[in-house]
Parts: sequence; C-alpha cells; structure tokens
Amino acid sequence: VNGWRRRGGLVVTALSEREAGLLRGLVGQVRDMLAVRVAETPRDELAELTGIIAGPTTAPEDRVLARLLPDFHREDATLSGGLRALHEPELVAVKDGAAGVVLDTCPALGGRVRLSDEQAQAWLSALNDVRLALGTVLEVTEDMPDELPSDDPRAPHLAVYHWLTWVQDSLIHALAGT
Amino acid sequence: MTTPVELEQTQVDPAVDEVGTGDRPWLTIVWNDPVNLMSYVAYVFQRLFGYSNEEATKLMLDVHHKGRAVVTSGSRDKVEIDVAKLHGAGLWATMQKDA
Repeated sequence: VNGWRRRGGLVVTALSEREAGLLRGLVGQVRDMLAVRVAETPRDELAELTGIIAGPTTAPEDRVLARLLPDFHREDATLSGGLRALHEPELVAVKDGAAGVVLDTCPALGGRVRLSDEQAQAWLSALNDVRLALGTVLEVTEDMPDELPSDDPRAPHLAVYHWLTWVQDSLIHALAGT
Repeated sequence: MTTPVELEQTQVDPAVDEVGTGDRPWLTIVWNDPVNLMSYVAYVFQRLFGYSNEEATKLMLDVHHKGRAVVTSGSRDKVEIDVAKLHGAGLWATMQKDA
C-alpha cells in the first residue's frame, strides 16, 4: 500500500493480495463478533410484534465488544442500561454496514481500491473498529514500542496494528485534504 | 513500513465524575484512550459537530493532554445523541450532568 490519494472525485489506493486478505479477514472478524452480540440478545414477543428491537441493557463481557460498544454514563448503571437498550441495535447496524462496505469494495485478491467519499467514511469507521479490537487484545498502551522482541507472541500482531494505523492515518489525510 | 506512533495516554480524572443536579446542562465527555489517532479524533469532531479545524484540534489536544474534554453540551436528549454518534465513530464518550 502506498497510501490514499484523491483522484478526481474518488479516494484511491492499491493493496497487495496479502494486505487485502488481512484487511478483509480482520473486518470480517469484527463483523462476526457483532453478529454474536446480536444473536445473544434475547428477543421478546413485544419486539417481534412491534418490530422495535431493544438492545441488551448490560455491557458486553467480552473486552473487545465492550470497547466497541461503551457505556453511556460512567456511574449511573440504570441510565447506561436504558440508553444501551435504545441505541445499541443502531450502533451495531452502523458498524456492520461499514464493515460491509469494506468487504464489498476491497478486492479479495488485492489491486486498486476506488471509493466515493461516503464509502471512504465507511472504511475509516471500519478501520478504526478493527484497530480498537486489535489494540484491546494487544493491550496497547501509550508507551507501546514500535516493535516487540521477536520472541514476543504479540510481535507479528503489533506489526499488523501499526500497519492499520498507517493506512487509517493516510486515509484521514486524503479525506481532510491535509 | 512507516507508522504514526503518537498514541494517546489513558488518564482518568475522578474530579469530573461528580454528577450535578438542578438545571445544569448535560455534557458530552470524550475520554483519552491509547488507540484512537489524534488525527482521527480531530477529524471526527469536525465531521460530527461542525467544529473548525482549529477548534477540533484544540479539543483533541485537551483530550490528549488532560485525559478528557467536554465536546458538546445541552439537553439530555441532544447529549445522548451526541454520545451515540461518538460511539459510532469509535471514540470513548460518556454523558454526565454539569457539576
């Protein structure tokens, strides 16, 4: 990948086959995690009748999902629970939609990626979700080194994380025109 | 491979956790986290709330250096929507009543 550029009305880059496969795999994994969260949410009869889906009132136990779907209030669990039930279904749908745009527009075998601004916004969100997921699992901190010792099992994953950071930062600059 | 390595600090200031009462407005707080990029946070503030580049950068730096910043305020309904939008963008945001 050589970074994102504006060309005409589009935002473009090129990905190698390996990069495209890596990205599609990670985006797909985040999407699968969100799907599990939805599947675990009990559906009541009222929701079936009205079509108004209420989300769960409690935060996910899984730390990655908990980071993707944070509480609304730091102390008021009742308020947080109510707002989670209200907003989580749409939040999951937005994240799922962004992941879907990446999977639709990222060529599985690599090559050129050409995005409208709207598609580029979806990529930005999906890339951020993947970085949040990976950063949570890697327990990324402010003083995380650029590279870990080669015998650290996290080393190859941290390299992927830094690569995603670079791809996302490049996309931001292309979109913001900076 | 070149990577931006400016990662944000995680800081928690318990002083802002006090929940006020009365007619105080609600506040949308964005908290520092070690994953979100500084460039991304400033970009999200501009896109979601219409801040200028300068305003958004100042708020982003407040989050980065002070551990949190108030990015919007108003009625409970408005702030609730703003927090949901920030969650959609992957930022760590909460709402609280102005102390």
